[in-house]
Amino acid sequence: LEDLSRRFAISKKDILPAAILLLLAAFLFFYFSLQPEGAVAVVEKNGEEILRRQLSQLTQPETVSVEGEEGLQLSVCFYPDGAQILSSACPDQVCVKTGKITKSGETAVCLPARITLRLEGAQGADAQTY
Amino acid sequence: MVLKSREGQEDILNLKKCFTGKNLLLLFAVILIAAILVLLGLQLLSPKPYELTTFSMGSYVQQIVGGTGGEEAALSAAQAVTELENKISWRIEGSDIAALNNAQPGEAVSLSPETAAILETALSVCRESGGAFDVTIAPLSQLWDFDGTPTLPSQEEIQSLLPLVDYTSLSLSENTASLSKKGMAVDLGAVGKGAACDAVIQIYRDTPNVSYGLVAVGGSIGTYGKKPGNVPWKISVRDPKSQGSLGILETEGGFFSTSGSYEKTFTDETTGKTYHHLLDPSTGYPGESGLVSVTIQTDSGALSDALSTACFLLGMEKSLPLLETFQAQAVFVTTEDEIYVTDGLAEAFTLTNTQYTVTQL
Repeated sequence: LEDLSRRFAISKKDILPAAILLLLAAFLFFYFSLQPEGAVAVVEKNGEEILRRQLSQLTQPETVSVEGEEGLQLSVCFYPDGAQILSSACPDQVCVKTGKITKSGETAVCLPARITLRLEGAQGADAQTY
Repeated sequence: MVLKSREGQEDILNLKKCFTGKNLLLLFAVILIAAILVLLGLQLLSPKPYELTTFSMGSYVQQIVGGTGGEEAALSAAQAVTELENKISWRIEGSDIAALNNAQPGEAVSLSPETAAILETALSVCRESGGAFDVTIAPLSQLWDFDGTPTLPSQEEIQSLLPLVDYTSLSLSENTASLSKKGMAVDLGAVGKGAACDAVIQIYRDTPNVSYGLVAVGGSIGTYGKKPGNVPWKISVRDPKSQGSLGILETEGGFFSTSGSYEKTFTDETTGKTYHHLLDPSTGYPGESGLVSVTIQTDSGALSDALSTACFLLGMEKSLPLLETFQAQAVFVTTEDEIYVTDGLAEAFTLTNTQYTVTQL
C-alpha cells in the first residue's frame, strides 16, 4: 500500500474512495459484458406468446406442458443451452424431429398445433432461411 | 518533487496537478462509469422494434419492425400476406390461380396486378432456366401431394402428366393469362412465400416512420433498411443434417430463399427410398443434381424463391449463368458436405458447422 501510494502519488486517505470507484466500475463493466448471449426461448401459440424462459438462468432442464390448437398436447423442454419440443400429439411429428435448437434465430414449429418454439438473442441471427 | 508537493494538498484548481496522481485514477474511474452508464442508457432508451408472428401460407410469418410506425406496418403487412394468399393459392376457391386452373383451355382469365406480376417473375425464371423451374408443375405436385399425404405415384401416372407440365403453354399478357392444354394447372407454391416478403417490405417502405424491418415467411426472408448502428442483418442458413444452422450470412440486406431436399420428404415403404418435394419437371421425380440445398440472395423475394428451386434442380454448374442473368448470389451445399459461395456473399458468409468445407466460386 505504501508502494502504491508513492507510485501514484495518492495520499492514503484517498485510496479508499478511489478503490471503491474502480471496483464499482469494474463490477458494472463485467456485469454487463458477461451477461449471457441473451438466449431466450419463446413459445407462441397462433402467434401469441404463451411462454418465455431466460435459458441462462436455468440450472437444470425444465419441462413444460403446452396445449396447442385442437387440444393437441405438447411437451417443451428448456435447457441452459437450448430448447426442444420433446413430444407432440400431432400427426406429422415434424416439431419433435427438429430436435434441440441451440442458436438464436432457430425455430421448431408444430403446424397442426400452431405452436412455435424459437430462440431469441442479440448475438444470434435475425432469422433462418430454409 | 511531485510527491512532496502533492502530499496533503487539495488544490484542484491547479490543472497540472489535477491530472496527476489520485485524481487521474479518480478521473479514470469516473470516465469508465460514465461510459458504461451512457452505453447502458442508449441500450435501454433505444426503442424496441415491434415484433409480430402470424400464420399464413401454411407457415409462420414473423416480423420485426423498427420505428414508431412499426406496429401499424406489421399489422397491415400481416393482413396483406393473407390477402395475397387468397389471390395466388390454387387451393383457395376464387383465387386468381384457381380461376386460371379451372378455366377452359385457351380461355383468358383476368388476374389481379399482384398475381400477374408474380406470374411474370416466375415465367422469366422458367424461361431463363430452360424449364428447370416450371410454374405449371401443379399436375405433378398435386399427384405427389407433398403438402398433404405424399405417396409414390406409379410410373404410368407420372408419364401421363408430364406433357401437361409446360410453361410455354401458359401465356400471360397484361393482366390476363390462359393455359392452352386441358388438365394444365399453375402452382405458385415455389414463389408464394418470397412474393409475400416482397409485399411486406413494400408496406414497410410505404408506411411512415418505419426505419427498418425483417419478415420471414417460413424460410423465405426479406429485409428493409438498416438496423440501428448499421449492424448488418444476420441470416442463418439451415444445416440440412442437424436442422440447426451451418453458417451465418451478415449482409446489407435483400431477400433470401432456400430450397433443400430435407424440407418435405417421405420414405416409401416398398422401395425404401426417401423422396423430397423439389420435383424435376423433365422427369416428374424429385430432382437429383448433387445438391442438398441452395440459398439465394437477390433484391426480390419472388425471384429468390424461384431461383432457389431452379438452381437446386439445375445443379451448381448450370446455375452459375442463371445467377449471373439475375444478378443473384448463392450458397450451394452439395451431397459431399461441400459449401460453395458466390463472390458477392463470400465475405458475408461465416461457417459455423465445421463438418463442411467452404469454397469461394
